[in-house]
Amino acid sequence: MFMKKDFLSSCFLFCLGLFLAVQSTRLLVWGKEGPGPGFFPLLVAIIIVGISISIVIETRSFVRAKAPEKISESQREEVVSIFKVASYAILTALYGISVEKVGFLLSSVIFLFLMLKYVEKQRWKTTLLVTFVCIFASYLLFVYFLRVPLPQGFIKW
Amino acid sequence: MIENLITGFGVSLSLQNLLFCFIGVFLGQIVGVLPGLGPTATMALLLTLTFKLDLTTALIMLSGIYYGVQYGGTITSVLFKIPGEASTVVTVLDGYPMALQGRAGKALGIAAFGSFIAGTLGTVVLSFLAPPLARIALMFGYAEFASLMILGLVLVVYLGSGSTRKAMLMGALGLAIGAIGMDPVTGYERFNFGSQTLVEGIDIAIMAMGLFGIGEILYMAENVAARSSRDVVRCPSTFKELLPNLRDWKDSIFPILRGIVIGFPLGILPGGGGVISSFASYATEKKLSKHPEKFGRGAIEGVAGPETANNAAISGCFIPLLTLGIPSNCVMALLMGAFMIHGVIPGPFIIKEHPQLFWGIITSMYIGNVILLILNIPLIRIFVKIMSVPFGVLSPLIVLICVIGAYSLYNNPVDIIVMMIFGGLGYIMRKFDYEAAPLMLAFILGPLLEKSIRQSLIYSHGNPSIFFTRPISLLFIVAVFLLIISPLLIRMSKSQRAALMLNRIKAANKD
Repeated sequence: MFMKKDFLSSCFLFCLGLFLAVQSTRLLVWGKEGPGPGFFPLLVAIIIVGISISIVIETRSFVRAKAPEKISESQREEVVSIFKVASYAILTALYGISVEKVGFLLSSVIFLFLMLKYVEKQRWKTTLLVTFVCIFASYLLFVYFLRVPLPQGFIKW
Repeated sequence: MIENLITGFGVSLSLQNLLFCFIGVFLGQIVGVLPGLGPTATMALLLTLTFKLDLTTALIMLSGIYYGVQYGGTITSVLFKIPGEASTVVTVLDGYPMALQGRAGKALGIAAFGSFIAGTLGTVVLSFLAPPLARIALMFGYAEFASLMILGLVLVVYLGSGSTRKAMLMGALGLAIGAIGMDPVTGYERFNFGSQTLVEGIDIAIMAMGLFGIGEILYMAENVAARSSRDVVRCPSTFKELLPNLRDWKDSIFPILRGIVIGFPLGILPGGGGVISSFASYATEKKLSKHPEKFGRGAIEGVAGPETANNAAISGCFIPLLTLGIPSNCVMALLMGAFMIHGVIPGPFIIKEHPQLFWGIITSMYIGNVILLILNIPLIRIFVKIMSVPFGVLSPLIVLICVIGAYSLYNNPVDIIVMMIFGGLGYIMRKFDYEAAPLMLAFILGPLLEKSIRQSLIYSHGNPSIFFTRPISLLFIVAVFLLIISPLLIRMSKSQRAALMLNRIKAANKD
């Protein structure tokens, strides 16, 4: 499993290295006075491609191992935990995208509420207490004391 | 020297700087106790706030976080058998057994005193070492800086804990990400794909918050086992419990002194720092001990040495940044970011041009260690209570703070998206066993390295022999070469020894 991860990640980095090399050659690699803007990124791209090829070659034989037919208990647990990670990632992304339009206060309340209640499965009392105490503390600290200009959105202060 | 230290204390003992030193150390301890946010992500979050502070005050606070975190990690290692930081992993081995024997106070006390002694002596050594090093650094040209940075990056790769090739890949990726934005020599825009946000490149605070903040939260969200808590042993409640007795001092004094000798030089090395120094110190104490069987069962030397070493390494870490302008680890890279935010370039000129800043930071480290020593008596119980807050409650709060931090940098919502991309990258890197430290360090060094290499080649009209004909540069290149071939040499030497042994056995059998 280890080797399969290395094989996949090295393939991705190999492609990234190639992309970087192509983009670098579109810049000036070497001019009249010496190395241009494309020189260093091209050097880096060659390093990435070289190292990733060496890992791909070393790990390719392990990739052909047959996958088990039945899904084990640990694989079921892995699906559940990946769902949790995906929930975190999606809610965080939505929070980040909405914070400027909706405003810091409202978007943060919604984000904390959804995360605590539905992702982390906390009790109602904990969810409400933590959400409102933390939003109030964040407002005091960032807006009032530190005067950080956070987006107001629908709720003006 | 005395005058410089007096100047430094004059700066660091001002009310504002004392207050922010206290805030930094206190925050650092909380962060060290809590899972999910390490010193790098915390400092990245607070970098945005340093806009509003004087540079000296900002650096004093950020430095306080760094060594405060180490002690927070010690508390969890001793009381909970959970290392709060990588550098306190070793403390678990003897610290927790000491706690089970009712000696938690002694373990925490000797760790605090050892750290205080390391901080004090480290400050003295820093004061003596930094000015001559800065004078040597003035002799460096672009070629010397380029080869030194290459040596630094290679050291980070080889001193890392995982696969060397994967660390090299991350270093190269960091260099590639550092190339986004404006070319450091000509100012030409590259790899921004038409985006105005990317013209300035990626901000280090955004990257750090993403990789070490969001990425860590995503990983911990999945990894339930990492979040489980252990039974708390009895927490020391009085100052007397923290005081080591004569016997404890007799057992600990030489490990403490050796810890300083081991930790300080290792801290100077890029990629060195607290982790390697604490392990090296533990291994040394076990080897030198008359009773090595005591180790792992509550030997106070097993706490005193490593804790001192990791604090001494922190003092050592500052040397490359303050004298050469080269950060030796991610935390120093962030401090460098703080310097740059205020328009100051760290390096050999800083002692001359900003003496109050330089000596203020050095003396604040001594004061920070005093504050740590005093803070711990009343606050240990509070930290223990903080640790009992479930991760499920803490993690959304950490995400909230990261989002506020990212937005507040430049009031640009795109920064939040960039932070989340790096958060995803940080999570994937943890899953695929790639280290973030080489990436982060290479990212911050990349533009400097590129500028040094290209300026050297422009100066020599494209002739790469400039790196080999200048003596200091050649020294660094030889060190890089030896480092790269060292695994091969070790393997050859092992196989030669094995062949020699086999021949001797065959000869003995014939007889």
